[in-house]
Amino acid sequence: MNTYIQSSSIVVVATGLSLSLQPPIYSEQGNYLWLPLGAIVLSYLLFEYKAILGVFIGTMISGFLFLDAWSSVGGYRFGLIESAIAVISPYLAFLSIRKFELSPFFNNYKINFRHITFFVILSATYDAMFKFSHLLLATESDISPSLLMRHYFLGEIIGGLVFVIFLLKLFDIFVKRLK
Amino acid sequence: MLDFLKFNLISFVIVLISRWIIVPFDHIDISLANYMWLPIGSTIIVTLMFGFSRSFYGILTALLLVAGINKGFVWDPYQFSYIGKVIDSLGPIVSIMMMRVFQLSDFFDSGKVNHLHIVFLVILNSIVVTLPKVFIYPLGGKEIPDPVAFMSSYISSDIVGGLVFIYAFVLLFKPILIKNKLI
Repeated sequence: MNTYIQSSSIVVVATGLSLSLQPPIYSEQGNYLWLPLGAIVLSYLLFEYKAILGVFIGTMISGFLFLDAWSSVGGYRFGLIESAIAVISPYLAFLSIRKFELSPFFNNYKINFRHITFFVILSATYDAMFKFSHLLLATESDISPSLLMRHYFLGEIIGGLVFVIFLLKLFDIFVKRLK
Repeated sequence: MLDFLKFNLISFVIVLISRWIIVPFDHIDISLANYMWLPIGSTIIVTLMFGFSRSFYGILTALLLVAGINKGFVWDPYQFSYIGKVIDSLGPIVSIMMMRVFQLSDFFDSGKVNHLHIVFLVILNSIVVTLPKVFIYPLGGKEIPDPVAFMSSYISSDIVGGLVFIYAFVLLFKPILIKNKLI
């Protein structure tokens, strides 16, 4: 139960923070500092598969609270699929890295930042690809694919890295102080 | 210098053969990829075996040559297709560099090939070469009618072709690979 609450609340906070820093001008526009990807990545790093439901609840709550844009794009059905993509893509990246034995993300209880950076980039790539496909299939938007992809891809990489690195560094300092 | 020429020539021959085999299965519609793009496997294999500079020129020449023959060496409407071949040649280098820079894999564990990492490299390479094409191909005025079908068809064909080629290569050269203690 705690896992669900922690992972969903971290996603909601990150979405709120992201949208307050850079509100979207129109629905298809991504955010150049999309922090929720970092929150989802962090949830999977901390709780693995147990975070899936919490993350999904978090993205849905964020949609209702902050992303009024859903209603203009394609309604709740659109939002539901977007949330599912946001949950599945980072988990797919997590599984790819684990199943292909590329990294356990931690070496001797120390965080491997390089591997986490790659995890964020891979998650952003999957997420941008799926969201791009979904947007083109679900809406009759005439937005340029390259513009859309750039917004999503860059925004997710920057936001994801900023969020994860900031929180992990903060956590590192906190642990060192406690010691 | 002699090694440089020799390895580039071997790369050229391997990539040329892998591309030539699948020419009959090419589509006229750019939205649909050739469903078994073997050259991706051959480019990965030669880049891993010979290194970046000792394979790149051979790969590029082979891919451009076949593209040129297919298109009658005409530049104008096909220039972005030729750029696609440059992307295909650079793809393995970028993917291998990514995996090395992020210290994910060196593809060899105590001298033996790590095939799980190679499979992941094929998947990563397919994404690395497909995404730029989505944006570059329409620059020539040729519309991609369905970008979603384009991406899924190119990525799946790259993955299937890459895995099939590498599997066939390992089967064919098994004795040599075992002799060199690579598998």
